[in-house]
Amino acid sequence: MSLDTAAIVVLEILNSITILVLLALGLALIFGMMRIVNLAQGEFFTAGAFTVLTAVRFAHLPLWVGMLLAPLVVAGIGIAIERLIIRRLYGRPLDVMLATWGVSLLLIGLITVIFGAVTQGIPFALGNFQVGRYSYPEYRIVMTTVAAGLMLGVYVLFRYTAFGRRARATIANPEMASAAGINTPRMFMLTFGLGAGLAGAAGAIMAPIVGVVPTMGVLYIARAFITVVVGGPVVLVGTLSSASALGFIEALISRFSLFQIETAGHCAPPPCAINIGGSAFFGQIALLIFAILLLRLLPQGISGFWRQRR
Amino acid sequence: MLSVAEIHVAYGRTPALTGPSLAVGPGEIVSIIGRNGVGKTTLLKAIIGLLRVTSGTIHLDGQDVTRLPAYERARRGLGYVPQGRMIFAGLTVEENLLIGADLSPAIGRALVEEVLTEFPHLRQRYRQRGDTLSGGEQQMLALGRALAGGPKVLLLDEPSEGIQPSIVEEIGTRIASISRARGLAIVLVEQNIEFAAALAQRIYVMEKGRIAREIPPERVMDEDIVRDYLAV
Repeated sequence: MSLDTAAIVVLEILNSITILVLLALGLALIFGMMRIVNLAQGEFFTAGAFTVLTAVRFAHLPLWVGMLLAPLVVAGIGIAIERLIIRRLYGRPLDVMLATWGVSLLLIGLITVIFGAVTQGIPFALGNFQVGRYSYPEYRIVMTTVAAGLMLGVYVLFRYTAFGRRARATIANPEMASAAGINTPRMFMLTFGLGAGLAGAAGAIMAPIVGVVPTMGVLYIARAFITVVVGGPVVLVGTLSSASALGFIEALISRFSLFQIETAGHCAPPPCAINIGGSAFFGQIALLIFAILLLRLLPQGISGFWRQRR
Repeated sequence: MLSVAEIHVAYGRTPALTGPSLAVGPGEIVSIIGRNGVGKTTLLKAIIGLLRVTSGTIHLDGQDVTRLPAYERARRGLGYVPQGRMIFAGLTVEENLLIGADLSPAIGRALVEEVLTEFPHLRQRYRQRGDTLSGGEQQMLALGRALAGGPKVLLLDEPSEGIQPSIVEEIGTRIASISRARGLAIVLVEQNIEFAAALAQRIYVMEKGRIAREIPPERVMDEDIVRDYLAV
C-alpha cells in the first residue's frame, strides 16, 4: 500500500470514529448517567440539523451561528421534555422507553408539518485538500475537531467542575445526594438537557454532509445505540473505545473489497461478480456483525469489561 | 433547634412511625436506642426528608420543614450520616467532602480543612476514591461530608456499626468534642448501648414506631432496662 493510500485509510477510519462519537456521546451520557433509554435521541439529532437549516435558509444567519444555536435550542427541547414527561417516570425504565418513543414520533410529525417531508441540503463553502493522488474533504477534519472538543468538554465538565461533582454524586446515590443538599431533580433535568444538546450539536455539525429530512434521526439512532451498548457503562471511555473499534472495522470494510462472489448471468466483461466489502453498505454490515461479536464476548460492553477486571 | 412532633410514616399500608416526638437543643447529644425494626432508621430518614411524613411536624430553628425536600433541609442545616455510610463511591475523598462544603460556599473550604484536622486519616487518603477506604475511614468520611456543610443538627445512624473498637472510640471522642465546640445538636441512633451512653446526655428507647421512654444515661446498662427494652 502506498503512503497516500495509507494516509487516506487512516483519515477514513478517523472519520468513521468521529461520526460514531458524535452520534453516541449524548445518548451515552443520558444512558450512563441516568440509566434511561431515550428513544427520542435520534430526533434531537434531527432537531439540531433543522435548527441549522432554519438559521441558514430562513433567518439568513451564517452557518456557524446556526451550528452554535443548535445545541442550545435542542438542550431547551430536552429540558422541556424532561420536565413535562420523563420526570414523572423515573424508576420505570420501560415506561420511559415507551414515552420517549412517543416523543420521537411526535417530533418527527411536528418537523414534517413545519418543514415538509422533503430532503433539503445545507450549502457550505469548504473544499477538499490533496493527499498524494487523493483529495479529501476539509470539512471532515472540522468534524473530528468538533467531536474531540465535545468529548474534552464533557470530560472537563464532569471531572473538574462543581456541576460535574454533583452530577456524579447524584448518579452514584440519588437519595444520599439529596440528603447531602444536592437538588437532584434539577441535576437530572440538566443532565438530560446536556445529552439532548450534544445530540443537537451532532445533528448540526453533520447537517451539511447529509440530507436534512424529518426522518433522518431514524437512520442514525441504530448506530448510536450500538455504539453506546458496545461501549458499556463508563460514558467517555466507553464511547471512545467503542466508536474506535467499530469505526475502525466500518472504515476498513467500506474501503477494501474482501473477496468476490461469482454470479450467474451475462456481464461485460465476464465473469459476473459481486464485491464483498469496498462500499459503505458492507461497512455498516461489518459494524453490526462486529458489534454482535463484541457483545457476545463482553456482555457488559468494553468499559464494563475493564471495570470488572480492576 | 430541632423539634419533631408526633410524626407518622408508613411503608405502603404498614405504619412505621406512630407519632414519636423529640427535641434537641444546641450542643446536645440525644441518643435513640431500641431493638431492630422499631423505626430508628425510619425516624432519621423522616427527619432528613427521605421519607414522606403523613402527619405531624418537623421544625428546624423554628421553621417548619415538614414538607421540604431533603436537599432543602440539608441547606437549612440538617446533616445526615446514614447507616452504611453511603459515601459517593466514584468520588475521591476530597470530592466527597466538597459535596458537603458546597452547602456553605463562603466557608466551605475552611470547614473541609477543619474536618481534615479532626480526622487526619482523611488527609492521608485525600486524593483516593472513596470506595478504596476501610470501613472506619468511610465512616469518618461520611461524618466529614456532613460536617463540611456546617450543619446545626447532625443525624447519625449507627456510626459504630461494623467498625473496629479502637476506631469507634476515636470517632466517639471526635463527635463529643465537635458537638461541644460547635454547639452542634446531635441525634444518635445506636445499637451499641455503651457507645450511646458514653456520648448522650439523654437516651430514648423506641418501641413499635414510637418513643417508649427516656432513660438516664447512667442507668442504661441496668439489667431490667436492657431486658425490657433491648434484649431480643
